[in-house]
Amino acid sequence: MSLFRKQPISALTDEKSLIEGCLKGHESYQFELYKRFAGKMMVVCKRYAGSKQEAEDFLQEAFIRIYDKLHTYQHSGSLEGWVRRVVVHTALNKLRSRKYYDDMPEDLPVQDHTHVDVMSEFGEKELMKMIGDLPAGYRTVFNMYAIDGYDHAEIAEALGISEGTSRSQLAKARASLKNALEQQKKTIDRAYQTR
Amino acid sequence: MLIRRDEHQIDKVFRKKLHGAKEEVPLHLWEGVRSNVERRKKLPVLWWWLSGAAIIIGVVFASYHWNDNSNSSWTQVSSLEEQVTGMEPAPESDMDNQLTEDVVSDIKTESTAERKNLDDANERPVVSSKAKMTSNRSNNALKTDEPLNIATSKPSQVHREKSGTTTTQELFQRVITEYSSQEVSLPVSAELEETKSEPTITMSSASMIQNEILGGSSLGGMNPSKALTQHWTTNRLMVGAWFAQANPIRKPANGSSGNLIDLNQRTKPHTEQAMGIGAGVRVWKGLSVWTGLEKSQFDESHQWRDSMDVNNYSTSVNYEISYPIDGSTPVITAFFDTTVTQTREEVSKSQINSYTSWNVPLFLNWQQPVFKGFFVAAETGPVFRVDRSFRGSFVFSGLAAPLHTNLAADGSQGSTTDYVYLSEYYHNWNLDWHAGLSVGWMSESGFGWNVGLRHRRMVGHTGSENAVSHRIQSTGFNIGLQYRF
Repeated sequence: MSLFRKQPISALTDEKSLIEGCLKGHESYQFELYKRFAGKMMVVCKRYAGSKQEAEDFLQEAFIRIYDKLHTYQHSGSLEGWVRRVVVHTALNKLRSRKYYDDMPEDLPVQDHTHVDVMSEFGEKELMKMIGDLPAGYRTVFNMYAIDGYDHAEIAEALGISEGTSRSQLAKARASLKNALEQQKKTIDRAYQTR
Repeated sequence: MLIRRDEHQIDKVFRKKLHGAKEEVPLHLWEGVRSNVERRKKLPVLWWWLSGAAIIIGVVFASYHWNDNSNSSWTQVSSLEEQVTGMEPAPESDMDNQLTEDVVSDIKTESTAERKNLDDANERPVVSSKAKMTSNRSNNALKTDEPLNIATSKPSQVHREKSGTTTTQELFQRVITEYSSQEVSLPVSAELEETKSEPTITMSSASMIQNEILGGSSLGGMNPSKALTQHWTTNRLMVGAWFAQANPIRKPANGSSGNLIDLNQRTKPHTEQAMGIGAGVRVWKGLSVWTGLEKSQFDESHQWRDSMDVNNYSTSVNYEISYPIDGSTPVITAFFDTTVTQTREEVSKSQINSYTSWNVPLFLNWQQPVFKGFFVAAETGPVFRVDRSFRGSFVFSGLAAPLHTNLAADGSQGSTTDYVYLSEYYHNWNLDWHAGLSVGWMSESGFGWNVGLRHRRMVGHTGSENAVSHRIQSTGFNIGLQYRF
C-alpha cells in the first residue's frame, strides 16, 4: 500500500523498485517488466512451441504467472533467470496438458559424434527453424538441456519421464539437428556448384 | 549462461545463438496480459467485500437475535405486569389454560394444607402460598396470554398443595426476600396489595420479576426505560482512529461532450484508501460530534494510446564457401545483412494516477447500545477536503499527449521536464458528504472497535483542469478503534 509514500517514475529503471511496484499491482511497473523481458522470452516460447500462435499463448500465460508469483522471487539469482524459468515451466505445463510427451519412447542412448564446425555461422532464424522442425519431445528436451541449462534429472522431473528417456531424446534431437545442418550444407554446396 | 564441460558441439552452437536472442513482441499480447491481470486483481477485492459483509451481517444478526430474546422477555413480562395489575377473576372454565407447563416448572408452591381445604375454598382458592422463582427461568416461563391468576389455578395443573391461607403478598415477599439476600438493590418496600381473590401487583414488584428474568442484576429494580438508558456511556470525550478502503464509481456532472467521452474512456476510478484520527464529544445520550484529520489516496487507472516509432528488422543471410586447395573441409562464412525499417504505430499505454488529499470531517454520530457493550452506530456529515498532490499521467484539455507528473505539495519536484506544475490543483478545496453505518463493541475500560460501511459523495479531483467535473460515489468498508474517557 503506497498511501504515504511517493514512488518516482524514474525508479522504474531499478530492478528492486520494479519488483516492488509490480508486487503492489502498479500497472506501469508491470508494463516495464514486460517490456524488459518480453522480447527474450518470446524467443524462449517460440523454441518450445510448435507455432507462433502457440508461442504467443505461452508468453501471455507466462507473464500472468510471473506477476502472480513474483512474491516468491528470492533475489538470489538474476531476475531474468527467474523469469526464464517461469516461462519455461509455463510452456512445459501447457505442452504437458496437450500430451506431447505421452508417446515419448524409452530408448537406448544413441551414439553421437557429430561435428559441426563448419555450421557455426548459421543465423538465429535458421537455427530456430531447425529446432521448430524437431518433434515436440526432442525439441523440448534439447531446449531444456542444450540452451536453458537444465540437467537430465531436472528434465526427467519436469516432464515426468526417466533420465534415460531424457538422454535418448537429447541424442536423437542432436542427430536430427545434425542431419538438418548437413542438409543445409548440401543445399548451400549445390547452390555454389550451380553458380 | 551455463557451460558444461561435456558440452556437445551442437549444443554450443545453438546455445551461443539462441540463449540471449530477442525479438519484437506483438503489441496486442500486452493487452491480453494486462486485462487478465486486471481481472485477477479484482478477485481478492471481491473476497474482501464478501468476507466483510459476512462478518457485518453475522454481528448484526447475532445482536438482533440476542436483543430479540431480551425483548421477548421484556414484552412478556410487561404483558404479564399489565394484566396482573388490572386482573379480573378469570372464569372457571378457562383455568385449565391459564398456566402452562412452564409455569408449573417455574412456580413451585409449598403448602401445608390438605387437598380438601382447597375444595373448601369456594371454587376460588386463594392461593399459593410460598412461591419462588426458580433460577432456571426460560423465556417461556411466563408465556401465557392469560393473566397469571395464581389464585384461581386448579391443583390438577399446578403441582402444589393448597393451604387456602397464604396470599400473593407472601409470594412476592418471598421473592423480594430472596433477591434482597442476593444483595440486589430492590425496592423491598414494593407496594403489594393483599387480596384473596384479586391480587394486584404493582409496577414495582413486576419490575423485580422482570429484573430477574432479564438476568440484569445491574438493572437493580429500575424502571425498564431507565435500565436501558443506563447503557449510554457517561464518558463525554472520545478519541479514535480509522482506516477505510473503498471502491469509487464516477459519474460526469458537466462539461463538453467531447471532453467527457475522452476522459471517461481514458480514466477509470480504481480504489480509495484513507487513514485518520479524530476526537468526539458526546452531547446527548448516544449522540456525539466528531472531527479529526484524515489522509486519503484516490487511485484511478489511466489508459491512452500513444504513437511511437517501432523498428522492424529483416535479415538476409549470404554464404561464402571457401574450398581449401589441400582438399580439406570447405569453410562456410555467413554474411548477415540486417535492414531496419521504422514505422510509427499506435501503442496502448497505461498508468495508475494517484491523488492525495487531506480531509477534515465533521460528523454527527449516533451510537445505539445493543447488548453487553455492543452497539450499532450511524454517522453523517460534511468532509472538507484539500487536494494535496497527484502523480501519474494526465490528459488535460488542449493537450494531445499525457503529462507525467510527480508533484509534492511544495512543488519541489516540478523543475524537471517530466513533471508539470499545475497551480490550479493546489489547495483546491472541496466539500464532500459522508455517511456511515457500523457495528462495534466497547469495553468497560473505554476501549472499543467498530467496523462498518461508509459512503462518500465527492467532487472529482480534476474538474477544473479538464473542463469536466465529476461526481464520485465512493463506497467501502471502515474499521476503527475508539477510546472513551
